[in-house]
Amino acid sequence: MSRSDLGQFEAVYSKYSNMLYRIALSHLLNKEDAEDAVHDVFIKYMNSVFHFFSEEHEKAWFIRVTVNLCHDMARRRKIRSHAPLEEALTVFEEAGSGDITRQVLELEDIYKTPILLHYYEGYSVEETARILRISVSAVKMRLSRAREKLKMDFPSEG
Amino acid sequence: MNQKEIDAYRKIAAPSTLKARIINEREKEQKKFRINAGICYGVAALCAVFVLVFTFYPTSSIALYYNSDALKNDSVAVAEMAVSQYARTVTSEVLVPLTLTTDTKAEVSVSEGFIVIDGKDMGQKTEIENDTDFFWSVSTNENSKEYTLNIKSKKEKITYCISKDETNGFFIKKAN
Repeated sequence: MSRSDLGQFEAVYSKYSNMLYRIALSHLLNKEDAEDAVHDVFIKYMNSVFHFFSEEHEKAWFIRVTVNLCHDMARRRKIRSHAPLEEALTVFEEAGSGDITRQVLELEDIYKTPILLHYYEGYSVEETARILRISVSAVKMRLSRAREKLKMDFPSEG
Repeated sequence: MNQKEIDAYRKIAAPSTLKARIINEREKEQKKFRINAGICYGVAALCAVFVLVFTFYPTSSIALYYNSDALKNDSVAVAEMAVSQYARTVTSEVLVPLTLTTDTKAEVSVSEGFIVIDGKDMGQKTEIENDTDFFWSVSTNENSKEYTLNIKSKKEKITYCISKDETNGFFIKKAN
């Protein structure tokens, strides 16, 4: 089945779109930019020809591409210096998020991404390492530093 | 980590319009791709036609030489001709030495006179398959009258003509 096939697209979209949108929104802190990022990721997916070995491989590809795309967009549009955080926070607050999430969103990307993947999206440290293509110890170190910055009582990863 | 925070975070969903936007964009891209592919196919087909035309375009493989000069559309003066040793009638018949180069079977015919190959009278029409030296023996007693020599192969037909100008002598040239 081709990736441009509508049925195939819908299956993949329903599996990953919400998660990717949350990740994009957390990084870009802007609804329109997050939507653009997810849009571009799916277009990239449909135009790609490479083969995924497993569902995990596919999922990791989606997350990695989204995070990288968000970094590029943030750099290009200087989102951090211009986009009002409050706008993005409204979305999170409407969903019922509290202070912890707010502080997470204010973290630098290098710490924010492992926190989102590990604590919010529920990936193990090993999975997070594979997705971000960094070592397990690097993920642990980033999570530890993130916790210090947040000064929150997060459980230790494991 | 507070489970409530996690649940709240996971409640956030992509806008409902996003899926339609992606599908539309994809359709637009596919349409654009189809148009570009159509253009590419068109250009490729055109190139193929050109290649075929140039490959099979009949190029001349036949040439007629007079004194080692290829005969073209420009008139070439024919040297004062000796009286043909093969003359059948009177001394008004002359001999034109020619060389035909060809890689295909060609029929050579003359409107007047006859063809001589290796001293043999071949009549007004003969077939030549390889490069061949021959003579065209033709009567030239009438000024301004044109006599033709036709070479016909599967691919082409070439006509040469010889005429006599009262003041300048004899001329031979390619007629087409």
